Amino acid sequence: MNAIETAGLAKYYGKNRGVIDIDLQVKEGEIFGFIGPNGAGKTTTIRLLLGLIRPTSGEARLFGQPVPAGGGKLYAKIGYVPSEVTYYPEMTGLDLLNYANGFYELESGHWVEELTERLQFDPEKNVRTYSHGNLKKLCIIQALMHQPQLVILDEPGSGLDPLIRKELFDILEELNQKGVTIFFSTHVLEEIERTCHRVAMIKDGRLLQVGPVDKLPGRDMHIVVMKIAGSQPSKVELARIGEAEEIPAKPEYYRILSRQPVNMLVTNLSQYKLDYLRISDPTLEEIFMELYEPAVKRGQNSYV
Amino acid sequence: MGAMILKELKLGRRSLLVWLIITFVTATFGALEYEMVSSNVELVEQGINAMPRIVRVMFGIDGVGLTTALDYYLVMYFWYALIAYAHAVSVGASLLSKEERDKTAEYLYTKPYPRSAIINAKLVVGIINVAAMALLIWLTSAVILMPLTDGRGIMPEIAITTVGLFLTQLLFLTLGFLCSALVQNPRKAVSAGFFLLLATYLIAVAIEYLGTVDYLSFLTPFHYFNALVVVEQGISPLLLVLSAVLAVLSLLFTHRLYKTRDLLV
Repeated sequence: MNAIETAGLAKYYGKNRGVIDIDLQVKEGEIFGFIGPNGAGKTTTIRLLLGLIRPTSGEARLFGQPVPAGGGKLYAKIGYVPSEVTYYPEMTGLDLLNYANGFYELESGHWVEELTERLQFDPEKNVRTYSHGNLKKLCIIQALMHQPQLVILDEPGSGLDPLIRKELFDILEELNQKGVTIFFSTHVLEEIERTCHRVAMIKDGRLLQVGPVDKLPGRDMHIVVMKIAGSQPSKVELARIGEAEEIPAKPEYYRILSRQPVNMLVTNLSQYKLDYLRISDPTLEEIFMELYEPAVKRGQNSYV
Repeated sequence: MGAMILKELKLGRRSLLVWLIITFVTATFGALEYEMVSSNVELVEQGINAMPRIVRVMFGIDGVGLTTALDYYLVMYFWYALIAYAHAVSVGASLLSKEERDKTAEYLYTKPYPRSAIINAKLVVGIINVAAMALLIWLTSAVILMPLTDGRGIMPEIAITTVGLFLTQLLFLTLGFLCSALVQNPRKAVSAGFFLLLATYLIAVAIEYLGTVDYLSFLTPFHYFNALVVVEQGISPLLLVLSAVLAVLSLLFTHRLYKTRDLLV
C-alpha cells in the first residue's frame, strides 16, 4: 500500500498558483525526499497532505484513505514537523509534551525520554525562552512521541546545529528500519543524498521528476572555482571544460560548471597555473538553474 | 478534550481576570454613586431629562426612574450587559481564530481530533468564561445592592435579569464563533465580532428611539431579554426559542465552514 498517494492534486489561491497536477506515490517503508527551491510548492503540497488546506482539484490519500475534511483519527498515524514552529506561550516544553500526550493517550514515556536525551532538549524551560533550534527539537519530539507510521517533515534540518541534525537523521533512519515511512522536504541536497530512497523534484508548483536518488539529475556535475595566474584563457578554451563564467567581484577567478569525469577534469585543469582551486558538488539551486532555467535567465555574467 | 479545555482556561485566565475586574469596578462605582443619586433623585432626573432623548436611549436611561434600588439596578444593568456582551463576542471570535493568528493551528489541527471536537471544546471554554462573567455580575449586584434596598428584596429581579443576560451572552458567544468562521483573516475576526455587536446595539437604540415597535425586537439580541421587560413580563418564550435557534444555527454554520476551510498557517 502507498503511505501517500496523490492524483492530479492542485491548489490555487485565487488566480495564484500553489501547486499543479501533483501525482505522487510514496510507498510504505520508504524515505522519500521532496526537493525544490523556495516557493516551489513543497509546503503547500505538505499542507494539502495534512488537510490543513483543501485542494482546488485532485485528491490526496494517506494509507489508502482520502485526507479527511475536518481532520480526524487518521492523524494518529502521522507525525508532522512544520518548517516554522510556534507554540502556546506560558507553557513549558514539558507542559506541551504532556498536552500532546493527551491527544494520543500514550502509556509509556520511555520513548519520549530517549528522544529528549538524544536531541539534547531541556523540556523544563518556558516555550517563550526557546531558541528556534530548541523549538524545532520540541516539535520533532512531539511529532514522533506517538510512534507514527508516517512522519512528514518540512525542512527538518533548518534551525538545528550539525550534530543534532545528524542525530535527527539517525533517528529517522532507525524508525524507517522499523517500517516507518518518512517524507520530508528540503532544499539541502546533502540531506536527500544521505537518507532518501527516492526523491521528487518540484519547481513552480509542478513535479519535474520522481525517481531514485542515484538517478537525480545533475549528479554528474562538478562546480569548479579557480584563480588562474598569468595569462588568462580564452572563452573558447574554458568552454571545453564546461559552462564557465568570470566571478565579477574577483578578478582572474572563474566558476565552471563541468560534466567531465573527474580524471579528465583534473587533467584539463592542470594545464593552467592555478593560485586557487575548489571542486565541489553542485547545490540544489545550481542543479535547478542548470537543468530547468532557460539559458537566457541565467544572469548577465555568462562567460560562454 | 478535557486537556484542551483546561489548557484554554489556563491560557485565557488573565484576559478573563481583566474583564472581571472591569465589571467589578463598574459595579462598585455604580453602587458608590447610588448613595449620591438616591439622595438627589429629582436633581439627577432633571439632569437626565435635559439630555436629548437619543442620548438617553443610547445610555439606557430613557423612561427609567431612579427612585428605587431596582430602578437603579436596571440602569446599571445596561452597563453590565454592554461589558458582558462585548466580552462574550470577543471570546467567541477569538477562541478559534487565535490558533491561526498565533500560528499554533498547524500544531493543533494535525492532532487526531476532528475540527468539530476542537470547536466543541472551545465552546465549553467560552461558556465557562461567559458564565464566570454572569456569576460575577449576579453576585456583585446582589451583594452591593442588598444593603441599599431598605428591606425590599430585589433578588428575584436580579436573578431573572441575570438569566436573561447569560442567555444573551451565550448568543453573542456563538455569533462570535460564527464571525471567526466567516472571516478568513484571523486578525479581523474579533473586529468583525465587535462590528456585529455595535450593529445590533445601534438597531436596539433605533428600535427604542422609534417607540412602541416591540415586534421588531427579534432584530437585535439586545432586546431579547431586555431587563425592564423581563422584570415586568418575565422571559418571552418566543424570544427564548429564537435566541436558541440563532445560537444553534451559528454553531452549525461554524462547524460546516470550519470543516472545509483552508487554515491560515
